[in-house]
Amino acid sequence: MGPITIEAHRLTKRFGTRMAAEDLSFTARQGEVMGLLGPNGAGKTTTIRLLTTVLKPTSGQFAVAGIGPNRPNEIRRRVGVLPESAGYPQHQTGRDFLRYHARLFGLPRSDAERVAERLLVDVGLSDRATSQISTYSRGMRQRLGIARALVNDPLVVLLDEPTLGLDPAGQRQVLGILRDIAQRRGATVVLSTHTLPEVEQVCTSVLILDKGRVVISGSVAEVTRVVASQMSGSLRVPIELIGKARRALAGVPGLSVEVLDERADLLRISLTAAAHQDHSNSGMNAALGAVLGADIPVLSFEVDGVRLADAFLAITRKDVT
Amino acid sequence: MTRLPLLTGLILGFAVSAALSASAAVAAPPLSDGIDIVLDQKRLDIVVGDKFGVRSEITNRGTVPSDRFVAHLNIASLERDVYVDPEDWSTSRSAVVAPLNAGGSTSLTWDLQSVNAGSFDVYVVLLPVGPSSAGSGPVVVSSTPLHVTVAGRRTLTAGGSLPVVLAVPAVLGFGLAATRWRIRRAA
Amino acid sequence: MTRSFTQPVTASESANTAIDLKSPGWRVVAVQECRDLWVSARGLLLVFVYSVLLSAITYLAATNQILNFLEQREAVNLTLQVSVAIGVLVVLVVSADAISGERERGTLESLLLTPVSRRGIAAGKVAAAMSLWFAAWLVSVPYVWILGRGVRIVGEALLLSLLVGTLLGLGLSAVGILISAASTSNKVSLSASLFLLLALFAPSQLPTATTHAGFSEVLLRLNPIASVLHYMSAVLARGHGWTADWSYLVSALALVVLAGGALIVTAPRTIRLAGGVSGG
Repeated sequence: MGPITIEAHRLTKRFGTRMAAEDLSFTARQGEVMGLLGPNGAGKTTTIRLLTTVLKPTSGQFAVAGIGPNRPNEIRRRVGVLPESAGYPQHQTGRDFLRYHARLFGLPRSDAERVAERLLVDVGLSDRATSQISTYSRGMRQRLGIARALVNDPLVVLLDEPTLGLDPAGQRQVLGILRDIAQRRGATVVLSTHTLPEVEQVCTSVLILDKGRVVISGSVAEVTRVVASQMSGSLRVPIELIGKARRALAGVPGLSVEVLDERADLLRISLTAAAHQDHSNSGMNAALGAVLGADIPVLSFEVDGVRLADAFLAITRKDVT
Repeated sequence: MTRLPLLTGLILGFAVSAALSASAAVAAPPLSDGIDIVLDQKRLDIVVGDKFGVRSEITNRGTVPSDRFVAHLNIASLERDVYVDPEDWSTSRSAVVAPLNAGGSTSLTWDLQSVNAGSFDVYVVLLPVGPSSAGSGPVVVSSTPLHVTVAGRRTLTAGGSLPVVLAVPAVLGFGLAATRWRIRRAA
Repeated sequence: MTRSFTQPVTASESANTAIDLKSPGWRVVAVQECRDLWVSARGLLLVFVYSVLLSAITYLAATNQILNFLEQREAVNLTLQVSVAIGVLVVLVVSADAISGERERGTLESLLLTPVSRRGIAAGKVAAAMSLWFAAWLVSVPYVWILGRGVRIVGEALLLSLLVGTLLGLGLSAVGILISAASTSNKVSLSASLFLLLALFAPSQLPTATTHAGFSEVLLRLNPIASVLHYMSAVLARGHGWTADWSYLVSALALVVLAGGALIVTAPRTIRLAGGVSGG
């Protein structure tokens, strides 16, 4: 990993009596793709706005690319941002939009022209370069927004919900662009999202926020490992063998088994508290062994708590979209 | 627009007439004895809108120094139906005249612009403003007024304005339509 | 399909190394705002409606059969007063939309994320709004020419209207942006600005005798719009010299200095993502 590009220390933002971000401390390095996770109102957008100097922190310190908040213009020169629900001037063409923003970053006219053309190719919009933005689909606008975030060749790219409202193909396209930004450009990417599978796909680290505070941070594997309890699981067997499977599992100590009313072929297996104390996987292994030993074909066996979504739910105790 | 100056003019006009008739019956105050005002022109034929100037020479032909005066320029219409507002003809119609020694004189220049067609007399009156004489009324008027005949001129006509009145919105409307068409086409 | 970022932006294209010092941020903002205003036909529509109004006034003046020299000067005065009044109205409306409108359209954040200073953004928006006034003034030229022919007033009238309109436009544009930045919504901003403008125009519609009486005279002199229109009338209709009534321009000058100063001082704090007068 490269040098640290984002450093936040006890960063706090208060709106009146509401605490939008509280004591946020974390770092991100060059080339890292950091997933910023959290339920609605967790403080993800506030964090991005603080780091990009759109909002001033109530207290705390931060530096982006080694520059402190007392030089906001210098920070903005070095970051690229796709804001949440970014609006676009409807009458401008994609090319005009990018050229204008490149000019706002101080690029001479001819360079702004070149950068706009190149970025339009990079995000797959070159054939719609001269169309008005009003005619763009949501996915095209998101890609245009990402291109806009790159006009200044930023060291840090912050994207707030870039795949929101996109179809799966659009999401794949945007995620591909993100990977490229981190891998080929060497930029730090901060990805704020609700969509956990895409974090697992592209992020190298995760920062989970809840109620404005950092709940947990680390690599995706670390975060999952910390939270994963493996206390329960689901076992699916042929429906006619469900009784036989229950009898086989009854012989395994420390297990409780139940059949879900709505899924007659599915057995929910839970470790009792005593069995969970030893922090081993032996209970689940024994359950699986007992079923197989009874000559019952296992159609599926899934242990809860090994995916980021489970970790997220366990940490925030809220539903996610 | 200029109702107050008009009122002032009318009051002053009445005051002058009153003073003129009064001067026939009552002797002028001694400090204005021998003061006269002569205008440098007697007749002027101009066109409405023309600017012109008139110079008034004030001379103390008496044997004692004169009082302090205010010289006031006035314009009277000689035609019954022609309205005149002196305020419109000149922006500066009053000037203070310092006391003149015996035999002394001074001149004042008045700038005017004709704003009405018709026949007018332009004249100057002196009003004493000394500590003892203030309020005793106008005592001297110019010996002969400047008679100004202003011919009318009409440059603004409905027909003449039509090209501009129609062309400007038409050009802008065309530009607007073309721009909207271009936007729709681009979309 | 997307293409891989195989060619990162080169150093010469990087904002960090190739900064165009000839085009400061405010000018880039101003040029783009002007382009948006005129290319989107919004500016043209406003100027078209304005020209229709001037045409109506000019035609009515020209068909007046008893028009003499003085009325002709007054016709020029009236036309230019309308020109200045509508011109600055449009400037104020466009300025009142400048920040709050961008907030509502979701485009302000992108602008705030650029290195252009808040003052630069404000200056660019004032410049763009003023382009409408200059266009309005340009459109008034043929009307003034046709109305003022023969009374030797055209040049003086146009120069005077350009100067006083620019003065008023600058002041009101700064006021509009201040209101827009402080407003919680675009609707609030536009309503507040229009109310302010109506309040400023009201005294100019009072009878002349009323406006000259004591306290009313003070109010007239304090009101930048009414006093500027009064000044125009003095010069154009009554033929006063430019310096004779210059004191009537003091309030307009004060407006430019105070509103412009307030904008310069407060822009870094008030031009922000959230509207309102407090918060963050």
